[in-house]
Amino acid sequence: MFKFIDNWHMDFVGQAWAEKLSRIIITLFGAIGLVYGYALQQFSMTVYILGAGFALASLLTIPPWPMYRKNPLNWQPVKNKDKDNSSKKAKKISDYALDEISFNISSY
Amino acid sequence: MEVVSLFDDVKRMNKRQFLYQVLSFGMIVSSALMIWKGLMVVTGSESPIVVVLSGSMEPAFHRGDLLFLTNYPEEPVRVGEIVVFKVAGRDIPIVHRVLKLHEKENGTIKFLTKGDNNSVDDRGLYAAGQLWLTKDDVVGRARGFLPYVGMVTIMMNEYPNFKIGVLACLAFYVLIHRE
Amino acid sequence: MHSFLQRGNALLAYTLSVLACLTFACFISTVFLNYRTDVDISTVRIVLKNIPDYSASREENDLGFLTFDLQTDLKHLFNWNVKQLFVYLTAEYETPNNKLNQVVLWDKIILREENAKLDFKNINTKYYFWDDGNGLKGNKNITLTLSWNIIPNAGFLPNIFAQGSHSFKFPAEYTTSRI
Repeated sequence: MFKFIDNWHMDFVGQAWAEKLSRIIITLFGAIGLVYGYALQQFSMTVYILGAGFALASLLTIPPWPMYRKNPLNWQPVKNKDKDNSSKKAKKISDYALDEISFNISSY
Repeated sequence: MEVVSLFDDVKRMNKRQFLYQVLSFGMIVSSALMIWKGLMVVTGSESPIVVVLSGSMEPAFHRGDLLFLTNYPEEPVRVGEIVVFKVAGRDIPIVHRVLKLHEKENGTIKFLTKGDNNSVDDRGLYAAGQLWLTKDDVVGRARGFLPYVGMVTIMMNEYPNFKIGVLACLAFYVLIHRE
Repeated sequence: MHSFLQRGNALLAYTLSVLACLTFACFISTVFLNYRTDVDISTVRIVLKNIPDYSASREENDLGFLTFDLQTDLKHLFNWNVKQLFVYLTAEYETPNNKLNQVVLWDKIILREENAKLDFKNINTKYYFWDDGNGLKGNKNITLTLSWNIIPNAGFLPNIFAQGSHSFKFPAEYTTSRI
């Protein structure tokens, strides 16, 4: 299960965006809350508005929405040096893939 | 997966770096102690920050609220103030309000307290036969208030496993991660 | 920011630090306010008795009974950093026994601005007016003052004296009949 959460990745550009966006949302809601709470002379109002900002920011910036995955890294393709090695590697990779699949099955 | 990535940092450290981590952990602990002792000197109170543990002062203070105390000898205790006092036979100091006070010519005082949320005064809470509190019983006078912050401490005291877990996690994090 | 948990953690930490800043702003915006105001107090009926105080020493002590009028408007004391007002009426006097005696006779917790206009006629005290000895008989100068302790959302816990007090004297004879 943790693997699933850990793999909930954004790309690097997306991460920067998510952080910036979350800060903007929370700061903005905090400022609005401060003004509104002061106008009403009710500090609980300020806290509720900040809480709403937290909820909104959580919704918008914690899950890896598609907009944070627009710039995936383009990895170099695996180079084939010589046949022997490559077949070994291929075998290894396929083993890994099998492990991965079995793991996923067991975890679901 | 997680664990491997955590220990990666340790693997990349050499001995010197690891010792540095241990030292910085020690710094955190000792500076916390220094701040506490420093506050004791500045406020004159033996425990300058206390957490409210009971509901006897509701609705002013709830469980988990934080109080900042001072206890300057030249500041007299007066009626209506909120004092924190110790009673013989009770481990935990009590936070209540002064209801009645008599001061002699030579400055010695005796006073009676009551919790805002209690219907009777505190004579039943004092040690057997004790009718009044004196200056020696006072730990401090409440001067500042911060809500909810002490909730963590209450959680830690009521669930010892939680406390051990939190401390272990913190220590682990400080020791393992590089700055 | 690379995983779900780390993003949540960073978000929570930032929100909490913003909350701390907001609380501090609330505290700063109210710390210099003047919470004093006028009050009218007067006594209606005064009776003095001398009976054993079974709640304390069991010796015969002076016990005063009084009813009083109280008028004040504390509405303007409320702001966004006032959680509660603890209003209390103190009798302060001097006796041969003690240089200073303070006894709280009545108190009231006010949580909302709507309830902060006080207008009481001929009400009884909430607590017994026991002296620490026999100092009430013929005492010429008992001063009644109203004070309030402000409980904030976060900040200092000031005790404020109202402007205006009332002095009265106790009769030189005890009342023996039942009241």
